[in-house]
Amino acid sequence: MRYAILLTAFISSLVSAEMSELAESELQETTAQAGITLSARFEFGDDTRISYNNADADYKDSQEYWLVIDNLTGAIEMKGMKIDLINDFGPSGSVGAVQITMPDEIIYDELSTDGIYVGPDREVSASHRFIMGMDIDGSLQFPAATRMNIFAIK
Amino acid sequence: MKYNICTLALVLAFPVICVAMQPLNESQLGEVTGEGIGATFDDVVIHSGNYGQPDDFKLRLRLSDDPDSEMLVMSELRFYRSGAEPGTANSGGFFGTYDDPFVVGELREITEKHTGLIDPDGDGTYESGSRTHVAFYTGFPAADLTQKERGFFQWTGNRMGIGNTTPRYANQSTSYYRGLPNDFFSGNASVNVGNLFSLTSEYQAYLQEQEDRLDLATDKFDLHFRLDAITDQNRDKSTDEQFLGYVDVEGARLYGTSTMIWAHSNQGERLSAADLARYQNGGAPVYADRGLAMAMTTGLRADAIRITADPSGAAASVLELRGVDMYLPMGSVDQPMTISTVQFSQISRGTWKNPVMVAPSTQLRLEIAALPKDVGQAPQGNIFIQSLAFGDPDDPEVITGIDDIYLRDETGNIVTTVNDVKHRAFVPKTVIYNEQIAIYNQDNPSAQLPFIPNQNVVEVRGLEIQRLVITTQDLNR
Repeated sequence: MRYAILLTAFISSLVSAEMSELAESELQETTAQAGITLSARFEFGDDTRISYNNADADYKDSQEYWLVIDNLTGAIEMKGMKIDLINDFGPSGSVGAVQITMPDEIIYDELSTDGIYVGPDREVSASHRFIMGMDIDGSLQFPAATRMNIFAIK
Repeated sequence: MKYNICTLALVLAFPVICVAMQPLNESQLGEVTGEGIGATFDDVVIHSGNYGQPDDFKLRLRLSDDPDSEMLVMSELRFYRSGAEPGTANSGGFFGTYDDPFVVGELREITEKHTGLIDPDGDGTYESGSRTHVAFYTGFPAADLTQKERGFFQWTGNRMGIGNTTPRYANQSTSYYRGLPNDFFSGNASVNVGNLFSLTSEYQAYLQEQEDRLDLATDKFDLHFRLDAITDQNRDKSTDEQFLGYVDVEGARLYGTSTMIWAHSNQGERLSAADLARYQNGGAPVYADRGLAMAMTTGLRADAIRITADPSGAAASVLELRGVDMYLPMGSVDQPMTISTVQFSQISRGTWKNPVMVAPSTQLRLEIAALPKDVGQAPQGNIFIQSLAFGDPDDPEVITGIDDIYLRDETGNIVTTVNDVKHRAFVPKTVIYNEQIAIYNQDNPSAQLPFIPNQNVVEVRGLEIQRLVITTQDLNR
């Protein structure tokens, strides 16, 4: 798990996110639910890199390998995603759940990576193998206020 | 293999929750609880505009790290409740319920049927038995459903019970059919239909049972997307030149769909020395059969799957599969599926007679392990496709004949005749007949005629994977 935490910290240091104030009209739409409304834009600066190593695994191949998403640039923006804690879920209306309402739109602003690689180091070198490059641009719309309810099962 | 692609996919999807999967020992196995996370989805709709429009969405995959890489572009992603107007506020559908949710993160104990020497405590003490794994289970709503028999004649033959006999005497009724009653499609005013229609009703009820269960678990959804390919040959040409196709899936929903993921040390490399020599690992052994193991079962029902190969949507460019029911197990606890990246030396294209090997390049290898002899049988899948449609239904090239259709009531008497009905290639006569019945019933709601059981134009039965290795290759080498 320590690598996951390191990874989180690494991403946080390279990504700038902006929380914006709600407009008057948006304020009027808010209800007194136990949750948050999130509008955010994540911008990736030049040379942003995500490197992942699964050091805890016990494999017979002694070589360490890193998964590297190299030179991540561009931005992701979403408006009005809601996360609520509800307690009236389920057929009897008595189950607690986390309810996530998708934003109206997720905007991908030329989100791009030079490539996704695997190799023996956290930085891409000639020894790394290229898997694919990826660019995402444009917007995905969720016009019906798509909701996801997450709850524990037994 | 340490850099297994499964890990890659998980890392991409959930970068902060990926941890190493390792086999559990006996004491840890006892703590497995079967608890996990459930999720339901309401008003599900995803929309993006047409390719090249201001509200479009494009996902470009670059196939090499060259500046002028060839690209595959996916766009026009739309997902919405079947039959609704895409992109509108009321086009959403539900997926999963509290009692039958999408499940992720449940840990399940799975045991191989194969018996061999095992080391249950990992302390070097071996004994005879079957290995047990703890698997990370992901299940879609209605994951417990299995496939229904989609062939009427097969179904009548497979029913159990004393009534399942061939008639020997005049007073016995037929209880199974190998085809429709004699002369059913002829112009004879009356034919003996026996108990065809009562069996048909019974069969419809048998199929409807699954539909009713699915109706409780999920709506039907439609999916649309567009694919373009940008290559060296069309890079500077118009988007119409780069267009590959539209893909539309209509009235689709999953059943019996689940995935198990677990860790294993190896599944026993079975490639011959000659084949194995084509995989390269810098002089070190190739471990393509190690890492994360998967067993994935997918069940898909779809009213239609359509590929349109002309950007204008011309009917002549359409290939459509109708009435699709696919149930495909890929891997099992005894035959885990692994996906790895490997260095593979392929034969240069066009030199297969006198092979010229090219330098190894990174490829994907998908492998389903060999079926252990003592297991006997792999999980079986079936594919049913009721009819195929090629191009414009009025195209003379696909019309195989023009014939009258005699619509009959439940006693076998002709009620009306539809003259000069076009029969099309790869569309069974039963489907043509039922199309006319549907039209008649729509026009005569107070005098409905019975449908006959549809036949399928494609039936793949008992699809069983004994051993599978797929290694991708570069088309341009």
